[in-house]
Amino acid sequence: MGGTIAIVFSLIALIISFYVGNKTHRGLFLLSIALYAGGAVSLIVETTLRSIKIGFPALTGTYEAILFFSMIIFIVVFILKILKQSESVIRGALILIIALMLIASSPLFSDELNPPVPALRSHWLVLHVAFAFIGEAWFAAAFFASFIRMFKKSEDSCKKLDKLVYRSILTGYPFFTLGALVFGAIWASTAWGSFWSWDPKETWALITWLTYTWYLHARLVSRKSPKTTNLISLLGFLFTMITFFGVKYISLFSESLHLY
Amino acid sequence: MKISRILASVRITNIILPLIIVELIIFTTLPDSGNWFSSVIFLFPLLLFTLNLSACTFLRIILKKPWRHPAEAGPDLIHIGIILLILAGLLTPVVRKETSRQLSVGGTLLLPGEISLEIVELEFLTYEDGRPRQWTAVFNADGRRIMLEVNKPVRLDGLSIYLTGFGSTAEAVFEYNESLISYNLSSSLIIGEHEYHVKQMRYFKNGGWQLQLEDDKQIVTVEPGGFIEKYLFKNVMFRNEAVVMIVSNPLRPFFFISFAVIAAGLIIVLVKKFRRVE
Repeated sequence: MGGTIAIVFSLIALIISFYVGNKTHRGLFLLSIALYAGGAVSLIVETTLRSIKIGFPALTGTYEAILFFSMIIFIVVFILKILKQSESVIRGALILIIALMLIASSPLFSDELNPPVPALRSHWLVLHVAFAFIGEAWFAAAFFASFIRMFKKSEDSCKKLDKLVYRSILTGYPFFTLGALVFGAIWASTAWGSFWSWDPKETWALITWLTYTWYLHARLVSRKSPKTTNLISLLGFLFTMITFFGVKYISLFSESLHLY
Repeated sequence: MKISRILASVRITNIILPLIIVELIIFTTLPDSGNWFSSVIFLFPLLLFTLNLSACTFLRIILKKPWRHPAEAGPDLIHIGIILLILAGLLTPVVRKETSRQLSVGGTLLLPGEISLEIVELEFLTYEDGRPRQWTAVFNADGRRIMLEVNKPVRLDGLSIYLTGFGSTAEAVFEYNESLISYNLSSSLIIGEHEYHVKQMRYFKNGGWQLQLEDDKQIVTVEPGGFIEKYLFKNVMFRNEAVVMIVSNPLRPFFFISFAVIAAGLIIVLVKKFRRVE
């Protein structure tokens, strides 16, 4: 139910965004804000109900992870709108939410309620997943800003988008580092007695982190050309998505301890 | 000092990072990917990265002394934390020791410090659909009661003890000369003068199990109440067992210190830089 509401709200918000464009319209601005908040709340309610039913924070399956990820993207979109950031980036993020919701409702992923097995019953797991997805939602914003920047010719627009890419990555990076690597390693240590085991999912999370580390060094210190840093940002989100969905198709020869 | 400056160059960082990224991507697609992470092909760029990071941190802290304000310490703290983490990670295979034991109720584990742990209770809870819900093993540690659960390791005498799994062992019970003899079915069964291996085991009827055993010459099938030589086969019994892992890793605190240092650095960077985006 929450997923359906999220899709409907995203679609309406997307239509409004295309209708309004970059013009200012107070009523539609407020309506958009309400739709983003409503979308996030619908997914929070869905996640909370699922959590109550399974007696544990509902973050342990792919379907639930997609719900949570979409919810955070709604919040990111909400913040971008309040900060009057690029409308094109907001549209991209809304399209991503719709795509994620459609993937979640496809036969590829089951929405069956499955209480977690003992190894997953850990508060470190909750922190690990939640922080990683907060980081990844900001990386999504950076991705759309980088993507749109490729087609912009005006120097002013490019500068604004570069700044948005940088701010988004700078916000997502600490969350992702803490969630995917630090909390993940602590959870692995409490569950399996080892901080790191070169599991394919772990390795891909490290690849993603190294890519954004590379972006920050390239952008911050060596003053690489914006085109290069833009490309690194695009690669970063590609790797983020591979870490989320694609590891089992790439790492054919290794089995992952991660369930999704 | 000149070498330090060359090593500290961000240009090197911007070469090593993509190199490591490409290597990692390739490794995850190869068979036996685990072996590649301890190969020279991977360790050499990692060493270069560590040197680059160390030289950069050294120059920033010692020469430039940028910490006029605590808010400027962020990147250096992240670098220091990562250096500690890499060092702890590289040294861990040398100092970390791990052993696993499968124990049933009554089984005893003797730890290096002469502490003996005896399993007094095992609990295996399942959900309605049969999936595992919670595993618990209760130990008696020289008079103390210790409860071990998955995800809740116990620290004892510098060791970490984990409950990593739950299983059951099948045992064939025979009667010979009015006494009962149990044979673990995962190993060979020496009955009389023959050494048998289990070829097949299947549910028979009324809770009984049929065993098909083979030795070098023959295959013997036996059901509860049947005989192999003079041994009366009673049935197959299952015993619950806990998989207990004991880990000794003196570097464990270094990991937590490095995590704390990295986290502090990240928070400082986030708070400071977000206010002043150029």
